[in-house]
Amino acid sequence: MRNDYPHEDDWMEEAPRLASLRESMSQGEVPEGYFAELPGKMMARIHALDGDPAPEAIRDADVVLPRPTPGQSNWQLWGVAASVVLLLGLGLIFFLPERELPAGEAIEQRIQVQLTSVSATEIVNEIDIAEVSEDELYAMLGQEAQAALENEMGGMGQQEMLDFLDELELDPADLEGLEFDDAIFNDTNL
Amino acid sequence: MKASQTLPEQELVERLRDEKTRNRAFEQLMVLYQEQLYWHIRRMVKTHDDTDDVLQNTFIKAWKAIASFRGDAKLRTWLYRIATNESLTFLNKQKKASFSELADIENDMHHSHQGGGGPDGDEIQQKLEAAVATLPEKQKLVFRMKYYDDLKYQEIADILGGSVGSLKASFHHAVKKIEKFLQSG
Repeated sequence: MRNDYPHEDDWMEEAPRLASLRESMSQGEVPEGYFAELPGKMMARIHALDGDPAPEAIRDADVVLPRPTPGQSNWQLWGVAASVVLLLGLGLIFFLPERELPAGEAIEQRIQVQLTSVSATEIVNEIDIAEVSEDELYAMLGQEAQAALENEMGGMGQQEMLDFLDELELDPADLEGLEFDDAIFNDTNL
Repeated sequence: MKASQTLPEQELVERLRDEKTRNRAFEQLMVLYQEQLYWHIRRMVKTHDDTDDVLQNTFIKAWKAIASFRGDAKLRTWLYRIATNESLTFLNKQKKASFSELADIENDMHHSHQGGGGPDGDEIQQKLEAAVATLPEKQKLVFRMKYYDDLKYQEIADILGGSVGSLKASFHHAVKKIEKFLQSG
């Protein structure tokens, strides 16, 4: 059996029954499952010594998330998705900064806002008609207003104009300094 | 189970040195060597409970020292050395208990011989145990490692220290003393 030392062979020959015991000496009683459980038990003890809460076997294991039952899966999922979208939308509206307008647009918008808070009377008072030329007035009022006035004035005949003056019942003093067509003064009705 | 059946020793050593793979590798190391170490310890400390304590201490010591394992010796030799030291430490603490155990064994043997008839397997085993128990500590260790664990002299030398020649002499003296013990019985 062992040839590296001659006395061993002598001993084995002299005590064959003892030689056969070698294997049986490893057959003492060991609690069932002892060797299967020992490595795990030791790793837990080692991790406890190291202050490591989770053994590697658990850390490395895949985490299997619980799967929803068929009845509850779809509507719950869509409900959660809708809530998330709604919250995101509200967040965008209330918390994101307003879109900046180009400079020109912003000024115009601000002027319009200011004008709406001013009454027409105040605007008229601010405008000194005497200092505004006819051309400037037309420029401010626009082409449509110019056309309307010219039409109004142009369409009025002499007789109509005299009737209009009659209605005004002006004093002769009011007419001083005004230049009239000679035809008007020659009219017998004045 | 042998280490070479699952992972080459060198690869296992490398994985033990690497902190990321150490846990798995150490678990594998325990699976590979726990039975050999268990029986090595049990032959010295006798009971399962004591063996379990010593074996666990052996693995704890191995774990603490594994990062500094240089690989000069084989893993098995290194583990045997730790297990042997742990067992001897345990026995020194339990010296009185060990003497009483030996006395119990001898007492049992005395009664069994008085009972008459040829010795059965258990009796032979007990007799051998009693014979080994009479050996000086070093001869006892050498005999057990060589006879039961089937370790090579060089491995035993690595575990216990000393030369191969002195270990051969120790084993020779142990065998002679056991023969004498058995013949006297």
